[in-house]
Amino acid sequence: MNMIFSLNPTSRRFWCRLLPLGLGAVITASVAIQPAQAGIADLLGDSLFGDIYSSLVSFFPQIIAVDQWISLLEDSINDPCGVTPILFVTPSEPGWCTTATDIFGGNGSVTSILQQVVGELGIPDVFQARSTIQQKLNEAGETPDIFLANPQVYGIQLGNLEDRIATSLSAKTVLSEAGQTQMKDEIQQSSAVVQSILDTSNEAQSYDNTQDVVKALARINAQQSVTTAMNHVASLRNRQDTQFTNLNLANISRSLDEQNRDLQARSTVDSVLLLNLTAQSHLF
Amino acid sequence: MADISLNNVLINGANTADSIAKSWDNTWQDVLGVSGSPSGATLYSVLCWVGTLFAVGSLLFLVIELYKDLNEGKPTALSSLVWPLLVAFLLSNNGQVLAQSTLELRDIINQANSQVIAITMAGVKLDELYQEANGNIGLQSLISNTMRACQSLTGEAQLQCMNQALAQSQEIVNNYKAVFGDRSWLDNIQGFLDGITSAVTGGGIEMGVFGLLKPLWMPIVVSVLYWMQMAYQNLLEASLIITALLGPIAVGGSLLPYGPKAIFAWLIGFFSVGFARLCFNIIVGLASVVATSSEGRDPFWFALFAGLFAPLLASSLAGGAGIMVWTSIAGAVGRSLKTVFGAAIRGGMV
Repeated sequence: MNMIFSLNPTSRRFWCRLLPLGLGAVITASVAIQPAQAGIADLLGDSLFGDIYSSLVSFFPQIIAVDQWISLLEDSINDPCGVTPILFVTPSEPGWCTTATDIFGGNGSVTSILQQVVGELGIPDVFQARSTIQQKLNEAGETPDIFLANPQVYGIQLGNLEDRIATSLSAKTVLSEAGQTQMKDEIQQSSAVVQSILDTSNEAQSYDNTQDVVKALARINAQQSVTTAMNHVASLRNRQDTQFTNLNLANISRSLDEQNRDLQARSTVDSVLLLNLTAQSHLF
Repeated sequence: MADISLNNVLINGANTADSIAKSWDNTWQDVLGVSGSPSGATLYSVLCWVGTLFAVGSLLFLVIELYKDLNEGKPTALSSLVWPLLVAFLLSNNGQVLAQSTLELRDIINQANSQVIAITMAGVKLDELYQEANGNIGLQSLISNTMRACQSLTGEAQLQCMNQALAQSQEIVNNYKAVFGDRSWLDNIQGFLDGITSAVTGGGIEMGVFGLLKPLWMPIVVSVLYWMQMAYQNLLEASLIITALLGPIAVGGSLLPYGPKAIFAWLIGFFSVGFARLCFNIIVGLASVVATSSEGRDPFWFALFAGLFAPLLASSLAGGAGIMVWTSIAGAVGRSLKTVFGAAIRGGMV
């Protein structure tokens, strides 16, 4: 214990250097982050076990976020047609909300298949959805699309459509108005948590009977929380960027599918044209 | 392909052909003004008026010739007097008699055609053989379309795709069998399908698939050839109508006392067009025998034959025949004139 209290000069220099940095971080965070809101920090109040406390709370907002994300996704899946067509992969794509075919049962749309394969977390299992679509089409042995006669090829195209639907529903949970509100709440919540940690840390500095090392640890943990909060904001921003990327990938997938479909449809149109001509042509 | 009922397409196709023939019939009736046309000048009546002008003009020459003959004391050929009466009879009442006669001539051509088309080769009529050759082309194009989608896939997906394509192709072939009966060309395609099916069941795709897969451009090119063929058939019908419309002018011009009568030229022209149709039907009908035989596996040459070469051949045959007949008639007229003049000269000497 003596060793701890009587720090050698090297250690002192280290702390002397770190202190201004820490204070700088605190000031920056105080300026950047909104005023504290009443939150979990109040419950923990005067606890000095800052390390346990901060590590707990820094995970807490993310867990809340996942829950909210899932609930948003569930809402989207349950009401896909209520989605404002803000995305390129809009409900105008065949099979999204419109009744595509009796082959799928239910209301006959690809979305109904997605609803059937929702897993434990409320997220649709896209792999199962794809295989269900393909299986149902192959069993039927026909397609509702007169341009694409082959169920296998049609199944692949509908599978891509289903992936795009899942992608855009997921993107919607982040990029839509509701998604943005949720993200804003999340940021506010984490800023509140960080602020309360900083407050607790400041309080700890003023306690007379606390050992210097514990005070310093409280300060360090407070700084770590700020860093964690910044990381968290960065990850939120990453999530947004990723969804934009996903959206564009979905659009590219759609364009490729359209090109492929155009090729198939052209072949069908030409063949049926020739069929009609051969049927009409007679000697007279 | 499920939504395209093949039987319906094939039956509707036959109806379309009938309706084309009927619409030409109606056009004939309308153009020649024998269908109780509305008041006012019809095309044919206008041409009859022009024909009458020709006749009057030609009559002047005839009268001059007659006057000259009489003045010179030459015996007048009886035909010189008969022709004006005949022309007047044909052109009277807006050429009603001529129009009816023209329609009769067309009927003669049509009857000859129907008889040619109804000729049986190996127990099957030419017309049916022709439709079988067409059916062969249409069927192969459809099957190719069902399989084309699979060529961009790989592995299990490709085998699944081929399975579906084979099932659909079999359904199409069954449809064709229901329409055309058990034919050797259908057996050929069935053989291909069976071969591919057994290969796919074994987990692979055999070379036989290339016997059924056609290039993307093929349906388009073949369709163009079919359009050419249909256009030629309709062109012949249109040529007949145009020739028929020129009838009054030819009749009017027949009073001209010099050279062979224009009406003969007109008749030869009319029958030449009919002969072209006859030739075309025979050529194409005989080619379809080969196209539907068990040896003729790829029938697409038939489209090129019927769309390009048969029209050329039929036109040149009919044109050549027409020219030959015309030359011989001109020669005959020349000879008969010589005979008449010879007799007259001899009579004068006597």
